[in-house]
Amino acid sequence: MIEAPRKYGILNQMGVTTFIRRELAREWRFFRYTVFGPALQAALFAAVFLLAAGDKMITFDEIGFLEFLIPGMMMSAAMQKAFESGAFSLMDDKLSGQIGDFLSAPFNAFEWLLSYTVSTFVVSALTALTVWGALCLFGTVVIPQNPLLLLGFFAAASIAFTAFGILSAIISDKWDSLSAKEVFILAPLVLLSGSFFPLNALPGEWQIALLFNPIFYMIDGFRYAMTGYQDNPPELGMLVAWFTAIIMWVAAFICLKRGYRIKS
Amino acid sequence: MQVASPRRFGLINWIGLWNLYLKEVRRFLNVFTQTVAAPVVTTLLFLAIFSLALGRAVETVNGTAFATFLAPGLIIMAMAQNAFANTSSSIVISKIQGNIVDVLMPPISAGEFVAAYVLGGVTRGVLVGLVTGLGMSAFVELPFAHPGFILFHAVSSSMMLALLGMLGGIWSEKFDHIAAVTNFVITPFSFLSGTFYSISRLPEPFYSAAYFNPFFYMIDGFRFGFIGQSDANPLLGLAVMTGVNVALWLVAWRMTARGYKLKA
Repeated sequence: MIEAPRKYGILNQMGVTTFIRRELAREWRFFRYTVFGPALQAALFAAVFLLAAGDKMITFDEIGFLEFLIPGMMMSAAMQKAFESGAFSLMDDKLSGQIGDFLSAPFNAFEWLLSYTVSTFVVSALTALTVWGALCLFGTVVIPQNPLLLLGFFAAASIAFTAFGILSAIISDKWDSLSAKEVFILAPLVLLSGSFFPLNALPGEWQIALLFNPIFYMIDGFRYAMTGYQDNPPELGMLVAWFTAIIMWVAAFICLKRGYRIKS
Repeated sequence: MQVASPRRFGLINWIGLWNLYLKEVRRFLNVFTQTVAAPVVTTLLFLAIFSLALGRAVETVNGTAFATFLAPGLIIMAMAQNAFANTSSSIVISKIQGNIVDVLMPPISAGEFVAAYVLGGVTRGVLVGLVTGLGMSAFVELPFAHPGFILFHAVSSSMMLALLGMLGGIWSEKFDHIAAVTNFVITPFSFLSGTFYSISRLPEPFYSAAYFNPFFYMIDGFRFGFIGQSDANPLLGLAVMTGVNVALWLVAWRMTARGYKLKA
């Protein structure tokens, strides 16, 4: 007797859940680096900021220095993780040839990208949480003021950076070129977009440049949801953040669907 | 029939030493973007972040403008981390791939082995420092109070970390081990030993403990070369760096001569 092919509706749910589980299992193998790496780095930065500024610590309007820093460091760690998680996985699959295993499966580009989006969201949220935990040890515990808004900004950032990571992995032929994108594009974007300093710390013309940087709106909005401090109205921030996330996601989707640099 | 006689050499196998050194230098120059350009960009980013985040709170450190105080610290930190990375990664990769025998088999003595690797690490450290310094001089005013101290500490600090990298590389059996040493020892020490602040800001017992930390003398002495001000007596720094280097050379030489974790 020959078994009939498995049937599924619009979404191959089994494919998606399997792929998500595979991605999470992959991350779990490296959890020491995933968890301790960003947390340790954030703790070192916080220690340095506190020791260097000490009693002369400036407060940004009504909130404390650490309160200002904590959301920024959570976001920058989460953004980098969202980028890495999807990008490293796809790059590895591409170079090892494993990618054929899911290109030939009944698994379309939408399901594929959806799986990456979900798994990197989980991983980057865990990263943000460990960074938060590490920074709480410094004595300032920041409790989110508006959890819903927080989730909205976080999801937009996570989706945008997952898509950015996938796009980077697609156009990179070697690990070298992927890590070059991480060091020369991702790191400056993430670190110079208001994670460590407020808008008004910059000289005038740079402030204008920052206002054209969508990542700034993501970090600023996340900080508002957490502490109430804002450089921009959160409504505008949410609009910019999701607009960016959707554009990036659609671009990654189109590339995956066409098999650009994936299917020869 | 003429049989080629073995090549003769005196006390030191100069050709072997030179070629092993060249191999070490070419190894990192081959991936120049990752080994030189990337640390330079990262260090410049650090300069931007810390001057923007702390610039208003910490205008001067002991009378020196904050950026001028910070720049030498960041330069020496980049040099130290890269000198360490060069020797440690080279040895661990050779051990894991098994091509370490190509270096252990030829008539290269333990002293020549250590010298070639360490000089390779020093070359990368000094090159990274030079490029970073050039990059920073575009943004920050860098005086050269005592060029001799700059040169001495540039070489001795790179040497100290290259030697530590050798010890770490020889000791490590997996990439995990050396990654742990880098993340939990080298990075915290290079961050917290006075790169970003004068150690007079440290509370006791950390203040007194700093005087037993060679990383502190490395940063303090290098900075003294630029700004002419230091926390410790600069002559003491010369002595400590010399002493530590001599001790580390002896340990590295002894480990290599015995074949500790190198020869089965």
